Amino acid sequence: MIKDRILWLLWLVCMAGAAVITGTWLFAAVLLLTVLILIFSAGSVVLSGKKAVIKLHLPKASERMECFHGKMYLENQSAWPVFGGAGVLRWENLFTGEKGVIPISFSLGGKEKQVIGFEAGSNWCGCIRFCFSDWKCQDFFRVFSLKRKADTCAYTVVMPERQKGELSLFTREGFDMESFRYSGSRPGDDPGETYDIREYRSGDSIRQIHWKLSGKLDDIMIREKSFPVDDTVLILAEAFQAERDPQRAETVAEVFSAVLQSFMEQKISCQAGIYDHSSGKFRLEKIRTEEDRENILYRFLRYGSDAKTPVTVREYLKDPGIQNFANYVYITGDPQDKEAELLAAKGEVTIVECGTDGRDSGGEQVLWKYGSQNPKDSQKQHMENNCPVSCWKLH
Amino acid sequence: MSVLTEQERMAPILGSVLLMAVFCTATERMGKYGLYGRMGMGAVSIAGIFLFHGQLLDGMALYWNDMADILGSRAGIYLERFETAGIQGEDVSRLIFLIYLGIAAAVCGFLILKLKFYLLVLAWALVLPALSGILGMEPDAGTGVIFYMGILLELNLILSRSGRKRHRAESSRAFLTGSILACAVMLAAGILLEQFMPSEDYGSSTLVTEAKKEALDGISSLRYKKGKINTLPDGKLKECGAWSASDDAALSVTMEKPDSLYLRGFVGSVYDGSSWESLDTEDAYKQRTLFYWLHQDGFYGETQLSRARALADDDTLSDKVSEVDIKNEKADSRYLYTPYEITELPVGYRKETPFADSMLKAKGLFGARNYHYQANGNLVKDFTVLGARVYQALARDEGDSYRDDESYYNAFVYSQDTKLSGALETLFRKELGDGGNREQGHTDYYTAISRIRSYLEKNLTYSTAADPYTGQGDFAEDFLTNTRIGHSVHYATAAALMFRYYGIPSRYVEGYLITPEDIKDKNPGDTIEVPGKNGHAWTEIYMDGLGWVPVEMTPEYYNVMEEADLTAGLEAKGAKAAAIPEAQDEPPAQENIQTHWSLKLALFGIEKLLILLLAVFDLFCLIFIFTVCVLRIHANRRRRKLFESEDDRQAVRAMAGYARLLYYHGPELYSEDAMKCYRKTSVIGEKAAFSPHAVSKEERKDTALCVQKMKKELKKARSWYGNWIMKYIERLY
Repeated sequence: MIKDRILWLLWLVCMAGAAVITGTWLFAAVLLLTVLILIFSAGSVVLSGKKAVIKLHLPKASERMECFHGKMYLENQSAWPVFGGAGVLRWENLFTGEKGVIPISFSLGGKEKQVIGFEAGSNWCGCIRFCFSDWKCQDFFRVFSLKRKADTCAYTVVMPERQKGELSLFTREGFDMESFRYSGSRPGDDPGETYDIREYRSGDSIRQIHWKLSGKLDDIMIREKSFPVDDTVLILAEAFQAERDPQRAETVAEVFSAVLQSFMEQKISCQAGIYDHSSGKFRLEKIRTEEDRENILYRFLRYGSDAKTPVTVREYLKDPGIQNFANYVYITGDPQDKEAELLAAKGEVTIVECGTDGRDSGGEQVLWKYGSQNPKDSQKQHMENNCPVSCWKLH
Repeated sequence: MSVLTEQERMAPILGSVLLMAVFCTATERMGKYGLYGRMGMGAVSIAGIFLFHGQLLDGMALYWNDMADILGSRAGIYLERFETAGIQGEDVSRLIFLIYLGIAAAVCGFLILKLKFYLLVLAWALVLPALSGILGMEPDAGTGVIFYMGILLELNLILSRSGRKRHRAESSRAFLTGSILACAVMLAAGILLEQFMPSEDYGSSTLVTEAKKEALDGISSLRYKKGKINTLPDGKLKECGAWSASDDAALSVTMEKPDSLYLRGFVGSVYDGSSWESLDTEDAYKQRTLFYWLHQDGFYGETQLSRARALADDDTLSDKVSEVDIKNEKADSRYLYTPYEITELPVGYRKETPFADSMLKAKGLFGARNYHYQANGNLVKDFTVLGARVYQALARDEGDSYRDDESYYNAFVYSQDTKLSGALETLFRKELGDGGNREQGHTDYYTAISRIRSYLEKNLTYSTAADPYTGQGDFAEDFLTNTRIGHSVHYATAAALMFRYYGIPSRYVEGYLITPEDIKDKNPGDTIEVPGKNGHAWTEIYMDGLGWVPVEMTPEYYNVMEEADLTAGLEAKGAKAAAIPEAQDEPPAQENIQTHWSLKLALFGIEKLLILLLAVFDLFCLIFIFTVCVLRIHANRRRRKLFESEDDRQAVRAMAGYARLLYYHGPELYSEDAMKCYRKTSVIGEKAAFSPHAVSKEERKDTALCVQKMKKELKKARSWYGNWIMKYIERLY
C-alpha cells in the first residue's frame, strides 16, 4: 500500500509539473480528474466491505513438523465490491508460545465468494490458534483504507510424537504394589483386605483389635482395614509454565502421552485428569483404549493450553468426586510448580518434572529426546533435541 | 504518432496494436497451446521481417527523417537524416513499417504488463508532457484523457497484481467494476470540466502563463544559476528592473596574453516587443543546409572576425592568438562566454545548432562551468581599420572561399537581423527622421552610429534605478516615448532596433566585459576575476565583409572599453539618411514617473494584502474544521473504548452518558419502550456514578441494549441528511 501511495504521489507530482511547465489544458485536466477520482475512490471505501463475511477453516488435528492446510472463506454479501482487502492472519501455539503471521490480501466482486488457501506448520506440538481479527478495506487504487472487523478464529492441534520412556514409572514394578484394588499407602474401612497389623495406640477402636494375634503375641495388636480404590493411578498433567519454553512444553506432552501409552499397554488401570479451560471444569477420563488416550491428549493440548496459573490439582481437589486412587502421577513442565504437595494427603504422589534434573529430590533422571523419532531430523538435531526429565515420589 | 503520420495511416498501427494485444492476452490463458500459438506468431513475424526487410528499412528511414524534421524545426534538436530519394513505393514501405511498429508496441506493452514494470508505465505517462514541452504542441484533449485513463488503469492493474502471489485472491469482477466506475467518473468529470474550464480559456489564462513562466524560470535557475550575480534579464526585457550587480566573481578568466575583451553570452536576434529571443527554431532549421556547407568550409559566424583578421595584411592589428580558460563562477552557465576574437570553437560545439552561429549554448544538464578556447587579441578596438583592410583584401580577390561564404552568410544575416515591426518603423521615422530605403541598402555605419548615439544622449537619461515595464505595450516604445530612463539593457535594445531601422543588421547581446582596468598589471597566465558588475548589455552590428562587432551605445560605458576610431573606414558606401528632427516633447519630470509607480505599487500592495488576508482566513477555517473533526473522532474512539472497558462501572457510566446524548437529540423521536429503557439506564448510570455498590453484568448488558435501541430508533427517525450530520459532523456514532 505504501508503494501504491508513493506511486500515486509521484503521479500527481508529475501531472502537476506537466500542467505547470507545459501550460497545457490536458495535463491540468488529468491532474484534476485524478484528484477527483481519488476523492471518489476514498468515498467508495466507506461503502466497501461492510457486509464481508470471513471464516477460517482448519483441520482438527495435525502432525508435528508437517504442513497443514487451512482455508479462509470470504464472502461479500453486498453488491458493492471490495476493491481491495489486506490483513494479517495471526497464529499462536498456545501450548509453546510460538507466534507468527501470514499476510493476506484479496478483492471481492459484488456478491462474490473467494477462498484463500494457506499453509502452516509447527515445530512443536500444541494447540495452534489462527485469528483474523481485523482487516483493511482498501479503495480501488489502494491509496485509502478503512479498518473492518472480522473477529474469526480457528484452532488446530498438533499432536506430540509417540515415545517410549525409560523411567521406572512406566513399568508395573515401578509402583511396587501387591494389589491394584486396594491402596498400598493408606488404611481404609474395607474389612475384606488387611492394610496393616500394628500395636495398639490409644484411640483405636476395640473392633479393630486382632484378638487371635494379640493372644499369640501377648500384646494388643490392631488390624487396619484396607482402602479400596477404583483405579490404581490418576495421571494429572499441567500445561502451565511461568516462563514458556517450547522444549519443556513439548516434553510434557510427550511424557504425558508416553505414560498413558505405557499404562495402557501394561493394563494398569488408570485415569487421566486435565483442566478444560473452555468449560472451566476439571475433566477425568478413564484410559482404556488408544482412542481414550488420543482424546485426552487432544483435550489437554486444545483446552489446557492457555493456563495463566497451575490449576489442575486445585481444580481436582475442589471436586475430587467419589472415585479413589491409589497413586497420583503429576506431570508438569514448570520448575516452580509445588501443586503436587496438595495431593499428598490423598495418596502416593509421583512427580514427573520436565526441564529440571531434580537432583535434590533424589528421584531418577533421564534425558528425554523429544521428537527424536522424526526421520527428517539430522543426527545432530537428534543429539540436541533433549530435555531433562526427573521423576520422584513425594514423601 | 499523429504528429509523424497522417490520420489515415493511423489505422494500420492501431489495428496491429489491437490485434497483437488481443492475441497475446488470449494465448496467455491457453496454456501450452498458447505458447505454441505465440511461437507460431513469432516465427511468422520473423519470416515477415526477412521477406519485407527492404521495405521495413525504407519505412523506418522515411519516418526517421520525418521525426528528424519535426525535432529540428520544432525543438532545435538536429538528427542525422537518411538518404531517401531513391526509395520506390514509399506508401507500401511506410505501411509495412507501421504494422511492425504496432506489433512491437503491443508486445512491449504486454511484456510490461506481464513483468509488472510499473515504473516504465509511469515513465510512459511522462512521454506526452515531455513531447509537448519539447515540440511546443498541445495534444488533443479527448485522446489525451483516454490515453491517461488507460495508463491509470494499467498502472492500477499492475500494482494490484504485484507483490507476493501466495495468500491472495484477486477478483477480476471487482477490478472490472472499479475500472468501469473510474472511467465513468473520469469521463463525466472531464465533460463537466470542459464546460467550466474550456481548454481555449485555460491556455490564455494569465495565472497559467505566469505559473508556467515561474516554473520554467525556477527550473532554469536551478540548472544554470548559482545565486543572483546581477540583473541581466536573458533577453526578457519586461523582467528587467533596476540594475544591480555584485562584486563577486562571475567569471575567472585565465589568458595567455591578457587583453580587454567583450565576452558574449546571450544573443537576441528576434525582438517581439517584450523580449529578445534567439532565432526561431523553424527558421533556423530551414537554414541548416546553409550552415552545414559554411561549416564544411570552416566558416563560423562566431569566428568570423579572426578569419577576417587572417585576410588583413596589417601589423598594427592584433595577431596574438592565445589560450583562454574560462571558469564560470556564478554567471549563467547555459551560455559559453566567448569573445568576438575567438579563433576556433571549443570541441563539441562545431556542429549546426538552432542558434545559427549567433551564440554558443552550453551542453549538459547544468550547462558548462569550465571550458577553454583560443582567441586573438583585441580586434574590436580596431574594427574600423580591420574592416577597411578586409575590404581591400577582398577587392584584390584574396580569400576566395571567405568571400563566397561571407556572401551567403551576409544574405542570411540581412534576411534575419534587420526585421523591424511597422509600429517601430513609424516611431523611428518620427524620432530619427527618414532612415532611407532599407531595400536599397543601409545607411553608412558612421552616420547611423552617430545619429543613434546623438539621439540616445539627447533624449534619454541613463539610470540604474529603472522601473520594470509591466504594461502590455512595446518595451522599446515605452522606453523611447514614455519613461525615457534606463540602463544598458534599455539602450542596447533601442540601439539594436534603430540600427535595423537604418538597414544595418544588428542584435542585442548580454555578456561580460574584461575591461582595460581589469587587465592592468596582469601578467600572462594570471587569472582575471570578472565581477558580476561587469555584466553588460550591448548592441552588435554586422559589418559587411567583416562580421559582427560590438558597438557601445550606452553613454555611461563609452569610455569603459577601448573604442575603435569611428571616423576611419566607416563612411564607405551606404545611403545618406536625413537629419534627426528636433525632439518635440520634453521628457516627463522624474517626480511624475515616481508618483505613477508609487501609486501602482500601492494598489498592488493592497491587492496582495487582501489576498493574504483571505488566504489566512481560509487557512484558519480549514484548520478549525480539521481540528473539530479530529477532536470529535478522538472523542468517539475514546467513548467506544470505554464501552468495551473491562471495568463494568466505567463502561456503564459511559454508556449512560451516551444514552443521554442520544436522548437530547430528540426526545420526541423515541418510542415508549425506548423511553422506558432510557429511564432504567439513567438509574443504572447514576448507580454506577455515585453508588458504592457494584454494577452487575446484567445491568451492563441492559444498558448496552438500551443504547443500541435508542441509536436504532434515532437513525430511523432522522432523515439521511440528519444521519449524515450525526455520523460525520457530530461523530455521534
